[in-house]
Amino acid sequence: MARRILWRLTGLVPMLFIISLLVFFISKAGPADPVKGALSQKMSPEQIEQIRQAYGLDRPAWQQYAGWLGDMVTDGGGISLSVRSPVSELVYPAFRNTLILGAAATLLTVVLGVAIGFASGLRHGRPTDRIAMLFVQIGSNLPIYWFGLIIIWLTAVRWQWLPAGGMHDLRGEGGFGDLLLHLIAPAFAASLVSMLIIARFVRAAVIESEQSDYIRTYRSQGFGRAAIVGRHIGRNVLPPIVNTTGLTVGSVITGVVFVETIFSWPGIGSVLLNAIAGSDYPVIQSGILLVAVTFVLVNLVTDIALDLLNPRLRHGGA
Amino acid sequence: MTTSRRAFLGWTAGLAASALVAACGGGTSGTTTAGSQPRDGGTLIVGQYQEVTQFDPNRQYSWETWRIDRNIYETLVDEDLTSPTGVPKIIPKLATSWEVSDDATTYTFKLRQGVKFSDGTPFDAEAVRFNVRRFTDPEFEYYDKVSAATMSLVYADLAKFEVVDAFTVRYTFEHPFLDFLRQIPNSGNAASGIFSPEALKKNGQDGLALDPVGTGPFTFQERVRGDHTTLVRNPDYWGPRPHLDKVIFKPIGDDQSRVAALRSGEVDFISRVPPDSVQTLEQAGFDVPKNEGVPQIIYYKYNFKNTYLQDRRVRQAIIHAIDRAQLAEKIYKGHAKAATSIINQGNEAYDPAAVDYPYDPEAAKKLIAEAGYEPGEIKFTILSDTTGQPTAEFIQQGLKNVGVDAQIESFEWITFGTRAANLTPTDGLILGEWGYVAPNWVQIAHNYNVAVPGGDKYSDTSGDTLKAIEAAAHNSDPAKAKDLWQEAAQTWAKDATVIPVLSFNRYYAVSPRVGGFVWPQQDHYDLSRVWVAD
Repeated sequence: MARRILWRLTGLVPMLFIISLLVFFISKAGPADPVKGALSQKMSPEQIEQIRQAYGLDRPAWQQYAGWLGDMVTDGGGISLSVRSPVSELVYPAFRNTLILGAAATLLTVVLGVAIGFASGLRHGRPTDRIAMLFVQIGSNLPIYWFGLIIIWLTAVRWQWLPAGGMHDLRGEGGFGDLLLHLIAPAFAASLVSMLIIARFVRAAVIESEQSDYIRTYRSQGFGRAAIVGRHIGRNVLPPIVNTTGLTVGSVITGVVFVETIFSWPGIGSVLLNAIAGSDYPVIQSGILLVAVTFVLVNLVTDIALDLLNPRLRHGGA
Repeated sequence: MTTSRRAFLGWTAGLAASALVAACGGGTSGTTTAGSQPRDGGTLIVGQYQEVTQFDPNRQYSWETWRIDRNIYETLVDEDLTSPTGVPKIIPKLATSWEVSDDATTYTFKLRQGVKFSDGTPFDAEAVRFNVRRFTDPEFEYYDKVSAATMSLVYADLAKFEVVDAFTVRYTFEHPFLDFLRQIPNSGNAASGIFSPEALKKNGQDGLALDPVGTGPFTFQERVRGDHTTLVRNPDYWGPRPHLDKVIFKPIGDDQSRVAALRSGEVDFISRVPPDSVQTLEQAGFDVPKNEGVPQIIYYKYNFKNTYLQDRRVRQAIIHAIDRAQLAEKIYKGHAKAATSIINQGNEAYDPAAVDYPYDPEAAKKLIAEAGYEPGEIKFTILSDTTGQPTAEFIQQGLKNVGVDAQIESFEWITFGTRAANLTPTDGLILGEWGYVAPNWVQIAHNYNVAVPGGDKYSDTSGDTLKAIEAAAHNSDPAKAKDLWQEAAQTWAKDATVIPVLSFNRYYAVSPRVGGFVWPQQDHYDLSRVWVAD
């Protein structure tokens, strides 16, 4: 088991190297010109050429790649072309904010998704299940943008329970409670679609497992429902939950980028959008690398968790 | 594709949200009022419609950026922004008086004494010289190419800058330049705000943007990118004490989110009010001032790399095909005014009677046929930002009626800027947002939208246009200026190389918590006389 985990970790190194190469060269392949983009159209060709030299954009691509990798290791990604401040100051705080929102959304996705899934699965075919599935049906077809706005109008404008956006109260002192309050609505909006996907998976797994022969056997032997659900059904539906969670983290993060716009959440989404628009390579490269690395790590954790849950592997098998 | 889908969702969501709120009974209305008496202290939070660029006056661009910058940096002269109507009067700021030579080529300023930058260094003639050399003198140690490129909009013809004595400076231009004073406190690109030379030396060319130092009523405290910028009152300010202790600017790019932030009290005041929200905001007790004199114009420029648009008849047909009055009345619900000349409303040379080409779809069809094209043959893309989507769709419909097939691509503002700087031959019309009080806007607009992109090659009358613009730009007689600029604009209009569209007459929405806010005839506002309730 330990060897297996170690093997997966070793596999990360070439994978990250390939990702860094892809990120670097794909972001350079775009048609737009960073110098033109950053400076609008008011410069002569000579001026543009001088500035391009000053930024090292006239060097061969492999030299630029080596320089960038060096910058990533030493100071976190060099200097942004368009805003001229260190990439680390632009990208890391924004990425941290996205992680906070992404983590909260993932948590909601799993907790609510599993709860809904179990509630309808165990009451399969009864009104609770029907109503829950109707909501799932409607909810998974709601566009996030639309749904987010409706949440804002209801919770912030109409009822005034929650803030309309941002990460903290600009008039107040901030603090953890303030952050939590600001997290509720955007995290809910970002989690909606994935939450409902998990709910469906869990419901299906619960139904399948409840109708399986061994559960019937347990039941016939007089085991209580709570014990069956807790010890046996729960254990059986855990791997699909973990698997789906790992997969939906991707769509949570994609959703977060939209949600950040609507809820004015200062995350990586808008930083990356602006950087891509302005062909600000250092920012694009560092930002996408961070997102890519997050995906890889989430996959790794999912894999390891699945291994741990698989008794055949846990007990020393290959 | 995804962007237009997003914009579509935005509009439907906005409609649905408005309907929902209307159904809920109009939402909450503000209960506090700022009262009639100004109060010292407190924090104002401004919701801006886009992320600002950078706080270096010479490198910045965008109106929203200057709306922040002008509280930190001051200019030699300013405009009196206390009245909601009328061309603002030029008033002293860092200069106490000035003299203009009869031929309008030489401007001599007496500088205010005893003023200090917020880093404690003195403001004097040498500080002004440092500022001017930064963007005009390639020999200067602190010369900056980026600043020079931007500032050339105003200073391209500067022949000489002299320090006459410790508190007197003189600018000499190669040609008469009647609009120089008006351009000094201007908004958006090429801002002449005076920065501290010591701050630039200490922090470097790129450092000023991150750590701006000027003489203004507020000083910079922090910028958290994508989240907010905070200014605090300058305790050592030379002028009258501003009422506010703190101003926070927060970018909220999404229209409906920005309105929601205002209504829920998170921000006190927003810019670029969506037309659909004007009425509901007013019903909920917010002030949405009306102003028909703000020097701003929404226009479209042509992509001259597109072969269809190289033909003047096609360009003229496009203008004939757009019913601008209907756009302002129906789509913008009367909260906008049709623009039929490049000289924007609020400009000193504005002439409401000037019309380039009237709405006439039959004439448009005829011109297209004359140019040798079948209906449906001409195809191109319209580039817009997301807030301009309704305008773009209206134009698309008008073009369809005369047999022109246009697709729309819309983006967030900064993305749009880059896309517009990298045009392909299938692009057709590109959104523009600009306008000035000073009539030399005609020259700036022509340079930027026609001369630099190569449009003069495709116009039969460009020689006359350039001559008329030069005559107006080099004129030294204020009495003739208006006529000359109008003539230049009308000569240019015959080329059909630009499409004026409209100007907004609602733009800001203000919470009842705020007092003293005036929307003047300018693209920015003065915060030093604004106060907030407890």
